[in-house]
Amino acid sequence: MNSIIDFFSKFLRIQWPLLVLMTLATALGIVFIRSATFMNPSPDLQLAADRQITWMGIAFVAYFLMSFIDYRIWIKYGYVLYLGAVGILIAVLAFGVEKNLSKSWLQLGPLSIQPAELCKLAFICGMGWLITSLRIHIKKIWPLFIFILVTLIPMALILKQPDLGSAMVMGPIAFFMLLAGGVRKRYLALPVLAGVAGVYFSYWVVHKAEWNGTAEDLTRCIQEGTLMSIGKIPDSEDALTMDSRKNTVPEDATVILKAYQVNRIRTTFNPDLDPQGAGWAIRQSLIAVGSGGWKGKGYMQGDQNIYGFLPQTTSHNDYIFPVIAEEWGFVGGAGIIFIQALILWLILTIGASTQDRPGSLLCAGMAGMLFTHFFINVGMTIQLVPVTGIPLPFISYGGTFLVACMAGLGLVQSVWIHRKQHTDARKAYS
Amino acid sequence: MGPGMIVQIHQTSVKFRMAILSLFILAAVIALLGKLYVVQVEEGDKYAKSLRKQTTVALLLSPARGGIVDRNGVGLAENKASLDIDVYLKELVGNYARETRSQLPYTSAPWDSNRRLVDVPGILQEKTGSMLKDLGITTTFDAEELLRHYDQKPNIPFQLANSLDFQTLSKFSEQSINIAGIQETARPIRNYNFGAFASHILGFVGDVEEEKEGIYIETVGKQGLERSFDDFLQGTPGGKILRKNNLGYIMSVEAVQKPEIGSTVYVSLDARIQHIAETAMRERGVGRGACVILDPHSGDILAMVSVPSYDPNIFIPQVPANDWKQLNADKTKPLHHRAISGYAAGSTFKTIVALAALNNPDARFTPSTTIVSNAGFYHVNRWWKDWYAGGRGSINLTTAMQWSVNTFFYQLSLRTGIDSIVDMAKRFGIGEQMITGPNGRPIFPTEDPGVMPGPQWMEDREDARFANWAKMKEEDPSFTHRRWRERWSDGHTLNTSIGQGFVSVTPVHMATMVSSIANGGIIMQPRLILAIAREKGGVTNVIEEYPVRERGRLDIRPDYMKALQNSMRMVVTGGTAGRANTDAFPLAGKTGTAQHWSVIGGRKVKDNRAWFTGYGPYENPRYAVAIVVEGGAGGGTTCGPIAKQIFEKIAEMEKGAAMDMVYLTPARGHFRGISGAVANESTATQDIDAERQENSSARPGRSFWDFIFGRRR
Repeated sequence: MNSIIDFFSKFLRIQWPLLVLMTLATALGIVFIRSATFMNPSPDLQLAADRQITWMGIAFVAYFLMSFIDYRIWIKYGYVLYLGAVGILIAVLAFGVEKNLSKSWLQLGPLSIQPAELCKLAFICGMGWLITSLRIHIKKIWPLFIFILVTLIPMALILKQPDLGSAMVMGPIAFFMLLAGGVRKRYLALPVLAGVAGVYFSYWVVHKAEWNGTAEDLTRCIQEGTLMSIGKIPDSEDALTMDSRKNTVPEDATVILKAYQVNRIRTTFNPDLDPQGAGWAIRQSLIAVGSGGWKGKGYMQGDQNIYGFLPQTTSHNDYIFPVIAEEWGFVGGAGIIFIQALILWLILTIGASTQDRPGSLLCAGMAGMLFTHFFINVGMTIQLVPVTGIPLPFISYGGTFLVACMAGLGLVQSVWIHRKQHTDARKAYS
Repeated sequence: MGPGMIVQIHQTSVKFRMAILSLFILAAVIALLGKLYVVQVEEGDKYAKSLRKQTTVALLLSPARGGIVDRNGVGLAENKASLDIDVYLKELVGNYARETRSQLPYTSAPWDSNRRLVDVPGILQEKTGSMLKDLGITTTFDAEELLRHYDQKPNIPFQLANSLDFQTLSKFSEQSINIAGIQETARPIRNYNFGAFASHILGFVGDVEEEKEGIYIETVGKQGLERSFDDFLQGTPGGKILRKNNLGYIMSVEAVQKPEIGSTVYVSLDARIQHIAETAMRERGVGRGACVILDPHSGDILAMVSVPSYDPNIFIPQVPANDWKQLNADKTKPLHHRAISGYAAGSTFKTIVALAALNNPDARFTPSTTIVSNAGFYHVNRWWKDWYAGGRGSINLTTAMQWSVNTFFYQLSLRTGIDSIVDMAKRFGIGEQMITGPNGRPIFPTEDPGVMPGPQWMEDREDARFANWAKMKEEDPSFTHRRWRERWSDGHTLNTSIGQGFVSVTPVHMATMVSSIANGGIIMQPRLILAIAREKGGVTNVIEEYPVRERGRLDIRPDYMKALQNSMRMVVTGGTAGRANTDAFPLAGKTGTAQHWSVIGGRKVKDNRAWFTGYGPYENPRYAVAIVVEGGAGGGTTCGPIAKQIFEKIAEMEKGAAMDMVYLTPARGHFRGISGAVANESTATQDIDAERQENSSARPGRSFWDFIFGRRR
């Protein structure tokens, strides 16, 4: 009897806006997965929306389960989850199933799951446990090395699959959690600066000054790129084809970046370089988004989508945003961005409102994970970030990831539901 | 510091740190929204255009070419269906790229080694080579042509093979079903119904060599009427806009504009008479020559034959390089339209001299005026011989025409004066292009205007020569310039009076001239095109009509005209054109043999131009004819039998005999001299119509006194 009352009181304490936004995003996702797949020649993919509905059911179960269980248990046994996750990742490398050129799937009876997605949650819990455990040393520098090591292990395992996107997500998650956990801000400024420098280097030195990737060429390109960036010498025109400016590397040169890596960076900034190859997806994505205009072409009427120019194998997961932006235009695209941003803001609010450190760590971790997915996914389709295949939270097709996202939001919800209890407990304790 | 305090500090710190993260996210969201705005709103049009470009295929729908139809509605040039295999190169290459993950083979352009192009011939070979070989389909292109096509007009399908039979095509269709970009089509191609029939008039069509900006047409008229009336015949191309998916498969048809068939050109030719004339020229063994038949009352050109000829159907749809080379290399020039080429008129020109004299009151010449015409006469220090050594004595016009007496016309030309002869010749259009539209623009740009020499003409010629010689010398150092200025003399007049020297006329000119005698003095402008009409929805709208035009009238007394006509009748019944005499069709006419030498096989040989101009039936003329044969023995011997055969056949036709309009093979050219078979020994002696004008091409030489005084003329 008592537990029933307890359940209802918890249910009433759910933060409703978060649940509503999440449900809305997931529903929109299913709607557009339908649009992205109804013209797909593969009959299997045509059923993607139906399968996503099933997954949504599973994900809601996970969501409420996570909401009503006190989140502290996950932090308390965070190290177990973390070690378990590492174990599973190793198991994937050993027994995984290969799909789309990467070995990142595990077959469990009728279900095929991507453990890497769930490992992100486990990683958040493990990281939460670690930060909480090391809280008295948090201002020192040595724990940072532990944090980096702990981040790098799952990262390396996922990279081995290879799944660059999911591996990369670990970085921002750790960053968000460390910032929330109280690590000195000056330490954290370092990776931010490094990121900015990397972008700057890629754009001005590799793309504009056309560095060929060798040590011999580096000095010239750094000079030229820097001068171009401050406007001392005029920008070089974007090359028209890969052929027109060949990346010529002398035989005896010391290669720092390989030719394909250099080309990949250049193609990111100028997809026209290789319209049939590496630039194909980004070009098609830009055309889809761009041709959508203000209001779009109407649901299930996007030419890029239905004529299959958007990569048909991924338009329902990684390239779902261009489908929406093409069919619902800027209104729809901005709407998706708003929903995602609101969800992130609510998570951070919850994290700020709890007086319990593990709670805010969980929220920061979830925010980091969802933000990275959202920013890179949307950004890559409009040429803001390099093409990296990671899905858009709640909207992209993909059962494991949907379950991971919703379970993660369940954790956040749990933080919200239980925030008073722990504050009270602390007060009682003090 | 109590635990509450710790909580408080933690709380503040977390709030601040969460705010930092919020700002982080806010910045990212602003960046995303900004970029999204740029892509969707500011650059939206650019991407919308790219989208159109990659999802639509614009196809050209070629219009069927308009027909060329004779005066009775018999089609001369029409269309028939050709079963072809087309390749949409963009589609082919696009799919190949996808299949091979953009591992496209490249090759350098044959015309520019620095350009790299997709190796389309290689891809096509890989995709279809074995299939084509198995089915025994021969393709008609070379690699360079294909690359050029891919480079310059990828939107137009490339024709891989043409004129296949239905079985082969359907087998190919079954096997090629999985190759994107390959399509089997039936396309209308030009067909010349009677083969080598009026081929110089009709001309032929061929591939477009120079693309007009933005207009993609497949065939264009290359020669003859096909070229002159190309704008009308061409029709309006239609188009189709198709939507295609990423694999190049056509998903839907967005818009279709049907092509409009070209206009029909109605020509004045009568296919039956043309066929008769073509056949006669072939059967009489003419190696090089022309024949023009006019309706003397309207000036309509009923037949116009040029030998040798070619079958324009071999040029459709593409000119085989070998045949083209062969035709151009042929010394007898089968592509040359002889019916509108200039020739020395020879004795047929005497008719014009007679008309000039009869028309000129100052000449005081009537049909009964007699002139003493001996074997020769002396003028300007020279002996001007007649071709008949015996001399004719005192004769009038009838006898002079009948036996083509040179000395008579020499004297007559001096009597009437060169100016009146020039005037008369100009009335018949000698010196101008004759086959023109209503606006006076010539229908055949290659038509020879001919030359009517005279004092003024000589002045102009010499002026031009003196004005240009310095330039000519510069261009060609071996150019030799005659320093003395040539002036018109009586010698020139005498030469002109027998149609030699500078005189140059086309068979059309002579037919026009003889028409005016046949119809009693009205000079009709020859007319080849009757009308141009456009068929639309079963209704024929005449868009341009070419009216019958009168050039002028001969103001010769009717009895004089009657006498001239009679003398021309006598030429046929008892004169030089005896071989043209036939009971079936009474003809009147005049023969001529112009001296000419050609260099054939490196040797200068006699290559006379034999002429017959005439009309018939004598009492009620319906046809005027001019026949010229290069290498003929003489006007009467060579051309007479041709005229006879033509008009006997026409007589049969008029009586209603069934015509057998067989498909004609090209008339082969040759340099063998031809003389009509000797039919009748008694007339043979009279037949020798070889008027020998040894002085023909010689200009009047320096006289004795010139020599004494060292004068240069």
